[in-house]
Amino acid sequence: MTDAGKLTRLYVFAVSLLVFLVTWAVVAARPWVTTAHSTGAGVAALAAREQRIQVQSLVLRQLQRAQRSQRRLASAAPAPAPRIVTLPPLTITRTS
Amino acid sequence: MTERHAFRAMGTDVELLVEPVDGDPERALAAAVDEFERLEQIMSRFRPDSELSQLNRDRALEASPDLVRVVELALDARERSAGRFDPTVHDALVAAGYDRTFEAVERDAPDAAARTTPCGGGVTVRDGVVTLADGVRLDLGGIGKGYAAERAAELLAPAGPCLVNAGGDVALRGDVEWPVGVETADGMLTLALDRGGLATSGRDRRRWTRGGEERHHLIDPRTGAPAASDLLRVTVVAGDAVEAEVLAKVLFLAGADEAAHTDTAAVLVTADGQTVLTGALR
Repeated sequence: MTDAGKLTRLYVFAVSLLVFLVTWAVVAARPWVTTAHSTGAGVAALAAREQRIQVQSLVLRQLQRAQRSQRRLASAAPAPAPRIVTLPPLTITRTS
Repeated sequence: MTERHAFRAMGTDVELLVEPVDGDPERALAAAVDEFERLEQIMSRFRPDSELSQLNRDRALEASPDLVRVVELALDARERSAGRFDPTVHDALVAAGYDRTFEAVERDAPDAAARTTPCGGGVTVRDGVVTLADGVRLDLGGIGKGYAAERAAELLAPAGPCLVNAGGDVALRGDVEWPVGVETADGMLTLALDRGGLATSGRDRRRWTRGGEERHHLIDPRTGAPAASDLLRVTVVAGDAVEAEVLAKVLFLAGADEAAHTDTAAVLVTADGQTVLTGALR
C-alpha cells in the first residue's frame, strides 16, 4: 500500500470516529425529551402526592375525631334522673 | 350524721358534705380543701404565678396533667357546642371590665374599654404542651370550678357518700339521695340526686356597670361581649359537674326559645320571671 493510500484510510477512520462520537453525544442528550415537559411531569407528580397526603390527613383527622367521640361517650357518665321533692335542701346551687 | 365544711376558694363559696361510713372523714375533708387550693394555683387567671397565667403570657407551656385535662375538656366542649362554650374568652372578659378578682372589680365605672373582643382563636394540646395562637388567652373559671368539684368529690368519696358545691357547681358521689335547692323565678325547687352533677350559670350575680350599661361575666364567644340572653339563670343536671357547667352556659346562650326544647334536665329562669322545666324535669 502506498503512503497516500494509508493516509486516506487513516483520514476515513478519523472522520468515521468523529461522526460516531457526535452521533453518540446527540443520542445521549435525548433532544426529543424537552425540559419543560420533564418539569411539568415532576410538578404533576408532586401535586398528585400532595393531594394523596391531604386526603390521608383528612381521613386521619376524621378517625381521630371519631376516636375522641367514642372516648367521650365511654367516659361520660350518663345523666342522673332527678326527682322533684319537698324536702328542705342541704345545699343550694346558684349563680356564684 | 352529715359532716359539713365551708370555705372560700376560686373566688367563690365552697361546701363539702359527707356522710361518714368509713375511713377518716377529717382527713378526707382536709384533702379536698387542699385539692381546691392546688387546682386554684394551676387555673387561676388572677394569680400571676399560676400555670394558666404563665401559659397566657408565654403562649406555650409544658403543662401539668390537670391543666392539660381541663384545656382538653374545654376544647372538646367548644367543638361539641359549635363555639357557644369557649375557653378563649379571657380578653373579652377583661374588655368587659372583669379584669381582676370579682371582689376587686369596680361595680360602677365609666366605659373605658372596648366592648367586643374576638374569641375562638387557636389552642392546641400535644404531648402535654399547650400552645396558644397569637392574641389568644384562656379563662378556665367556670369549667375549672366544675373540674375542682369533681376532683374534690373523688377525694371525699372514700369516707362516704358526699357532695361538693363549688359556687353552684355540684358534684355527687355515693348511693345517698341529696336534696339540692335550685332557685326559681319565685322561690326554691328541691331536686333529689344520688350521683352526677349540677351547675347554675346566670347573669343575676357577677354583674357590674360600665358607662351606665349593665355587664356580666357570661361572654358570648360569637360576639366577644356579655351575652344578650333573655334568660336570667339556667341550672342543669348532667353526668358530672363539668358537663353540667358546659351545658348551663350553652343553654344560657341559646336563649329561652331554643333551651325550652332541650332534652337535658334543666331549670330555666327567664328575664321576665318565668320558670321553665326541661328534659326529665318536665
